[in-house]
Amino acid sequence: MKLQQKKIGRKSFITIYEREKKKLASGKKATSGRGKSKAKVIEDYWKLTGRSGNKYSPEMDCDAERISNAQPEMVAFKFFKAAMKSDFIGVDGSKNTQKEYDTIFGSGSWKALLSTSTLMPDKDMANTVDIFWKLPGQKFNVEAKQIEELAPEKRTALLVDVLTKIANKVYEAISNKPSRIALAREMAARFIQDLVHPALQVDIAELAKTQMECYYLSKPFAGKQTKKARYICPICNSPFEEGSKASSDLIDKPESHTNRGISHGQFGYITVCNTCKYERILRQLLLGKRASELIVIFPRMNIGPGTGELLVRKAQSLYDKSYIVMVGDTEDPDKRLWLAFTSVIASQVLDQDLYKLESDQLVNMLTYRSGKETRQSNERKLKKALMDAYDNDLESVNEEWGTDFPSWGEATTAVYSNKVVDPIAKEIRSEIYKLYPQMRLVCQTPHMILFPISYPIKLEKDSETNAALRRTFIALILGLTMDASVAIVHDSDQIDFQGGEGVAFVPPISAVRDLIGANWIPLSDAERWLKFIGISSILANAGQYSERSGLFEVMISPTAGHVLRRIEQKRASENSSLNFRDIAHLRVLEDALRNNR
Amino acid sequence: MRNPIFVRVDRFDLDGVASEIDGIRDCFDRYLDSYPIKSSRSKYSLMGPIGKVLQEARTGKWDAESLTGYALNIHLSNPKAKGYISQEARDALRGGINQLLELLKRAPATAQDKILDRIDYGLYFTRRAKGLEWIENVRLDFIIFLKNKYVTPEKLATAWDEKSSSYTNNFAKVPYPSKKLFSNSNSQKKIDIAEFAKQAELRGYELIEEEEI
Repeated sequence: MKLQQKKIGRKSFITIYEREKKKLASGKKATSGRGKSKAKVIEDYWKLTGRSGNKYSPEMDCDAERISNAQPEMVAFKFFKAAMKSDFIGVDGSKNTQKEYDTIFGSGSWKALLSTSTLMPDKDMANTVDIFWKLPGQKFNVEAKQIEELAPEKRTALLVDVLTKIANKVYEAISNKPSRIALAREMAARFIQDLVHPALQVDIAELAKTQMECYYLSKPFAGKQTKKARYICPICNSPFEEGSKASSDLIDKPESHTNRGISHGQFGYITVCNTCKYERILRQLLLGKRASELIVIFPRMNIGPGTGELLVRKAQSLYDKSYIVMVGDTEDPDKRLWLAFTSVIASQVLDQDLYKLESDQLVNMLTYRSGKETRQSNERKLKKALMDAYDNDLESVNEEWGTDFPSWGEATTAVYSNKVVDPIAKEIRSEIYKLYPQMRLVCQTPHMILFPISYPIKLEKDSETNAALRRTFIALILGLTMDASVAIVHDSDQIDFQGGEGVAFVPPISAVRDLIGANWIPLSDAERWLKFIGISSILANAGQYSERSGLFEVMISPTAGHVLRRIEQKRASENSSLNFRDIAHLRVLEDALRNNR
Repeated sequence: MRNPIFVRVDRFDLDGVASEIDGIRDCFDRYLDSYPIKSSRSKYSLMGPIGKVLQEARTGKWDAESLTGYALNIHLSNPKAKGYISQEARDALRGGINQLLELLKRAPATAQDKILDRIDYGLYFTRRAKGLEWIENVRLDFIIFLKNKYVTPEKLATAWDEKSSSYTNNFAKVPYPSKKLFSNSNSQKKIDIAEFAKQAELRGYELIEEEEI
């Protein structure tokens, strides 16, 4: 609950409200989109509490401030509601919760809490926060006539404490309470059934027949949740009877119709098997959010324990070095690890002997440094955030940090370079530079090493074809440096390969598979394709090809001359000319195009 | 209703004639080695009469002899050619045109544009790359000349009255000694470029403007 209430600030609502007010005062529309203005939210709140008033009046300003301050408490209530679902605590547990909750917050307050849905400040304020704020301070042994009078942080801490006590009391009274051990046991039972190796040999024809039957039987139930249903998992294609309604946390667009359902009638949410659900939950737990893609590494051939150990060490070392960059434990937080920047990576990787690269060299090659403007803007933001956090009081900063900075500029530089050990300063630095681990490592044995990553390996406007080429490129780099088979798959894709197929997996995009001519790039072709995709990335940038499909366009050019002409034309419009480096790149492309014929 | 008639047309394999395309390109490239290009940097100028040859070959109205004559006429009307074309260049031109028309005769109409496109852009790349590589080689020669004279980048910067940071990293940023650079330079820089140009002349080549490549 403490984490949840930190996820929302106390200033966002009032900031937007003030902005809308200013816009209106200057004769503009308060909101540009279809969304509700904050003034309308407050009006709706007034309606719910039987009040009325004028827009942007002092009274409304006051309520905007109140609602803004109440945001973390709203989230705490939301979390409590979700944690006390009858699915977890049963009917008796629900009754107990209602009793305990009503005892503290007053009769009918539990029903009011249940009437709220997603975060809606008007309803949440009226049905949860107001009730809490009106309680006398005496009830919780605090010196305040009403809870509302307490300082916001103190008030939120008190609410979290009260709700935690209720939850603990209710959970203690449950006989079959949900526990981590029970969940772990359930997960293990599911995963053991899902083992690929060792497993019984199956007759493929028989399996196909069974799957066809299950597909037929499951069709009427896809998009519905009933007790008699038979399902087939949209992720792993296994038949099952008891599963879970998929949320967008588990699968992309779970509510959209698929051919797995019948062509007519209502379609709700697709159901996934519990094995897939647990697998995705574990990935989310590791990353702190839903993984976007998964880098899967297998040994390229049968290997002994020694070589296996070496592969694990390589993966661990790669992760450790990447982690340092991701969390900014360096002097330069502008250095970022971003696997989608294939042109930047290619310019550093192509001249290297990948077989001899150490993990720190590899991580250096996978990182880029933000541009000058971004660096300056980040530094300004950091300075402002530090000044805000310490109320512009440099003296108290020096006292708390044990430093003697004569100016905010020097203090900011020290924080930037990671020379200040104060946890608050470090947290501000992390927030400004978004220094969070975006990749994790799951590595128990060398048979399958997973790197779930929280962002997709694609640039903003990339087509699926371009993105598939970038994934193949990164897979090739990792495959060659780690001497392994590497596949980069979408989080909801099934991993149905076992290693040994080649160095890098080619994503199932028909244009890319046509171009490469295989599902896996074998070791003999790996360096050729690495050069081809890498150099094409660099030239797509140089020729300012379309952001959507430029990389692919370069790779299917009839000759290097076509790309050269394009670069020249673009440069001419910028009054710059071709240089020898471009020709060197084009020579590599020419070779690659010739070899690919 | 009569039975439908199925006609199976084999798809022309462009990659199957890649070696012939390369051969034609080589001939034209050898010819262009002796063609004096005009002062602009355009594709039109760089390709000389070959651009016109490819354009006319598309029409299918020419035989090899007449198209070669047409190209020669363009060549000789270039004032820089001074009414001269070497025997080797003439042979290369004729050989290229012969092979080109032969290939086009065999190829289906739908593939002809693609073949010409490959020759056109492929040749353009070869010529452009040759030019830039020549410039780079001269620049590297100039760097060696300066290294011998000044030894360190700092001394060079002092002599040329420029920032020492301009020539760090082992003289890597020294530019090509073009006429433009010569006319915009201070006295010592001018002297060095002139001295280098004289040496180059003695070694059998002259400095050409970057735009002429």
